[in-house]
Amino acid sequence: MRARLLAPAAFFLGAMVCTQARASGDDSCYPAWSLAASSLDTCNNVPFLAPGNDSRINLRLLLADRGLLNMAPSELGQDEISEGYGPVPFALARVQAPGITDEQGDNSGTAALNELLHSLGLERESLETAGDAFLEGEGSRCRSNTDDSALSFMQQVVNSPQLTQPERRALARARMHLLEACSWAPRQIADLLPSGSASAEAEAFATYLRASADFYSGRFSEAHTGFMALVATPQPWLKEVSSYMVARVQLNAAQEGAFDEYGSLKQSAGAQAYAGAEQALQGYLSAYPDGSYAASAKGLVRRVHWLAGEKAKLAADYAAQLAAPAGAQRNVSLEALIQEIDTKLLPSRNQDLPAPLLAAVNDLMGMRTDDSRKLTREQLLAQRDVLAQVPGLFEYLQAAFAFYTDHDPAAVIERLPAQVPPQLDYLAFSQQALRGLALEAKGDRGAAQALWLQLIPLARQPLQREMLELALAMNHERGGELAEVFASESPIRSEQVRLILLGKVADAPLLRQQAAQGISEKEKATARFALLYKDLFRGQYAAFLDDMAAQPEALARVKLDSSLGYVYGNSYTLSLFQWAGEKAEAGYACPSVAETAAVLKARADDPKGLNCLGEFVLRNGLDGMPLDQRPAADHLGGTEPGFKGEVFSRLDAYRAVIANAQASREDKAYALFRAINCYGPSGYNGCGGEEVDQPVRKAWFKQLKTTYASTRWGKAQQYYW
Amino acid sequence: MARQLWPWLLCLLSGSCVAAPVNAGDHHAFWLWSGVNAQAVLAQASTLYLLQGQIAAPRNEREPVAFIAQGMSVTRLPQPGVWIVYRAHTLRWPDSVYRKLLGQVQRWQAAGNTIVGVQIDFDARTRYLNEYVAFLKDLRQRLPAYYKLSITGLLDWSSNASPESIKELNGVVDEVVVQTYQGRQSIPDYGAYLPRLSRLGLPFKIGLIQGGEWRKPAWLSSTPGFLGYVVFLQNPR
Repeated sequence: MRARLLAPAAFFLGAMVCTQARASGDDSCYPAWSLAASSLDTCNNVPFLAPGNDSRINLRLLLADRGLLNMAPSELGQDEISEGYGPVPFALARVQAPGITDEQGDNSGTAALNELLHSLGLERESLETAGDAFLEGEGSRCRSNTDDSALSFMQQVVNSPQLTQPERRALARARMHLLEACSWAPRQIADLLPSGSASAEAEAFATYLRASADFYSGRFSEAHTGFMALVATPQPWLKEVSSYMVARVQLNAAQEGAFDEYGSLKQSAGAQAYAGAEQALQGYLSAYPDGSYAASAKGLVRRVHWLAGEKAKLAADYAAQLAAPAGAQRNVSLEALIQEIDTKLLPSRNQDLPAPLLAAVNDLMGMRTDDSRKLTREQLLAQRDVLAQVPGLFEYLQAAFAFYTDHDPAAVIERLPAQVPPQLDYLAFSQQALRGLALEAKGDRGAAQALWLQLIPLARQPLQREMLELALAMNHERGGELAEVFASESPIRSEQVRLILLGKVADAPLLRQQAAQGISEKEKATARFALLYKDLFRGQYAAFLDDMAAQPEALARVKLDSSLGYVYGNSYTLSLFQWAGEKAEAGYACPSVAETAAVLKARADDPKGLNCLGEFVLRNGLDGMPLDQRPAADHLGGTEPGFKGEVFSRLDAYRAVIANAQASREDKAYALFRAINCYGPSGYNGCGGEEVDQPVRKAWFKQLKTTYASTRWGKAQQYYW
Repeated sequence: MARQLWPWLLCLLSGSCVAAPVNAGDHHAFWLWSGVNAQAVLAQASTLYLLQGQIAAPRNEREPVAFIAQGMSVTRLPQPGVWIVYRAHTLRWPDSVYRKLLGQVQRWQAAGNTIVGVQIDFDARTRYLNEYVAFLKDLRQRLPAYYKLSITGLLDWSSNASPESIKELNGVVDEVVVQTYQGRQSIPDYGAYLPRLSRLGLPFKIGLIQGGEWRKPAWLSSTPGFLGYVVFLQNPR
């Protein structure tokens, strides 16, 4: 039979449960397509040990190497794809389950409990328990007041031969009442307990229930007295559980007043305040090293160390937890332990962490550009003995220090193994990934490329291959050999990587090629869209008309959203370019896009043509199109766009019409009207192009209201901004 | 003649054209998020929006929706009014989530706090807005009438959301707190959206981020439905 824990006390009791402090309404993540980030970005992690990674990712990578967990990224979801994500970089949420699984009893004891009750002739009125009313991870000592702990009690009561059946029923009924709340007046409990000439054993169980009620109700002194009275009792279960509960009571009593009004731990009261609690916990653990509550007691010892501000001991506790084998009993799951380390240990930035994994994670935090407690070379060297417990780790961190702190790629390369091992665990992969990045930083693009290509067939662990594809793609991009990415033997299959390069960097011939030969319908459609869009908005009207003629029907309905760089919201299909000037909402009629292009092909500054190209942009929401925006230089797609030519903007076009002496009255009035409205109603220009000062806008308004007062737009416009 | 006073002129006259960093000391309502430490400015707060949990979407269909505690434990707070905030990543809540949520709100009440109501912080991209409206109507039914219901809103609702959806929120939520920031920074063109806010027709507050940017439009104070500001506190860098 499984021993159920009476009180698997959560480590969280009364503690802040902190996760990422992210701004309200915006814990959505967006990708940043780069590999060498040196400041924390929990939305953009890479599968090698890096300062920019969330600490929990770095810890996971190291734990994966130790066989304690698997990096098991979830499939890219529709939302993530809409946000622009590909496989790497990845957000924390892709490898970390949202919940804190099995941190508490899972109430698998409910059925057994109900059965025992039934055998006593009792039925439950409600299945709800006080302990289940809490959220995952919420701190309360009452969380242990669950079916599982009631079951342990009930098993003892049912199986104790000294108890009479009426005593069993009374005790069982009392325990079930306790399940319903977290606090009771002493009188309420007294009324429930067996009274009169009870046996000594019944008295002992009743004392236990009274003490438990006192404990949950916060009467720690009474609880202590009650449990102390049972530590020498002959009933073995009562004896053990009381020994454990004495310690728990002491800890709860000691931590009263430890937190300020906002739940933060006050300046530590010092080890002395918790000495009694720790002694009691250690007492239980030495009497019952494999006891039913040993895992819980160890967790509480950790809590004592945290409360008492004993950083070295706390670090040693976590080190011992991480060194334990995969199947070891823990008071919390490994998942929860990772969270706990992140909130309870790492923020103290202790430089003397006794475990190599913890020290490494902490060191990487200290290499972040914006870290307030930057790691020094001396501090790193002083950790040699600890870090060296994991072969290669010390050297890796020295190399990382050279890369991220010293910006000395040559030193990085010296420190890392030049030979690529046949098996790439995450540390070995980190070594090679960093070496590749250092070769790139040093300008040795050829050697870097050779390395990426050498690594690709060796990548076996999750996310490694995808990262290498990104690295190789950026290498080709920076070398001006974009065609290599799209060559038929190219190992770069990642859809998002390819689409970004097509949208941002590809020139017209490559776009034409991929429009025909892309590896998916989406790639073909994206290439064709980018081609037509850039033809049209970079003044290549003749090419636009030629390319339009080649537009295949089959791609017309492929929906393009994130593949054009949009994040949520907008999407287009190739049918955009079939826009026929419909509606004329503002009373300015335009022909089809193709006809407008033909007009502009004949005369690039044709006023009607410019206004109508603007109308196409306006009516289809193309202002601020991502295809026109260049990513940062160190991001994928951040190099000089291959498609040359000045980018069209509505504001520039309207200004050209306004300045054009040949423009018709109608064209000019409409251009003025639209140009004024570029700034409305916010005062910010929404039309792109060069900014115009307010006096100029005022003059436009005046011109529209005087010279063109009789036009429909002169009449309509009431404001300028 | 007021219509002839162009907004830029109003802005010049009222002296509020210049964007200034958001100084929490000028405000009285704050979000206190998990992982953000208490600050001295809380002493002047009349209202606190306190994050207490997130309803997390499962990573796959086999896993249940998780309701995870965040922020401080139940305690007696000095502020006269407290909103309990929940971050929703999914709207498919099992009954246990409603039960636990209400239980937790009542624990805060029982600890001696005046609980104004519950705020739901859902990343309601406009495409989810219809589902969100239905969810909120149902939640309003489940909440005791003496708790108000607040939601956070995104700036682009004012331009992208269907007016019907927004209209339906009237009478369901007591306020929308619209955020002018994203991540740790003010949204660069927040000003562009503001004029449309008032057209939402809902009582609203403006959510600012401590240290972020804010330029108060002159028309704001006199806008019907404008209820003031809530400042998202950040840890000092």
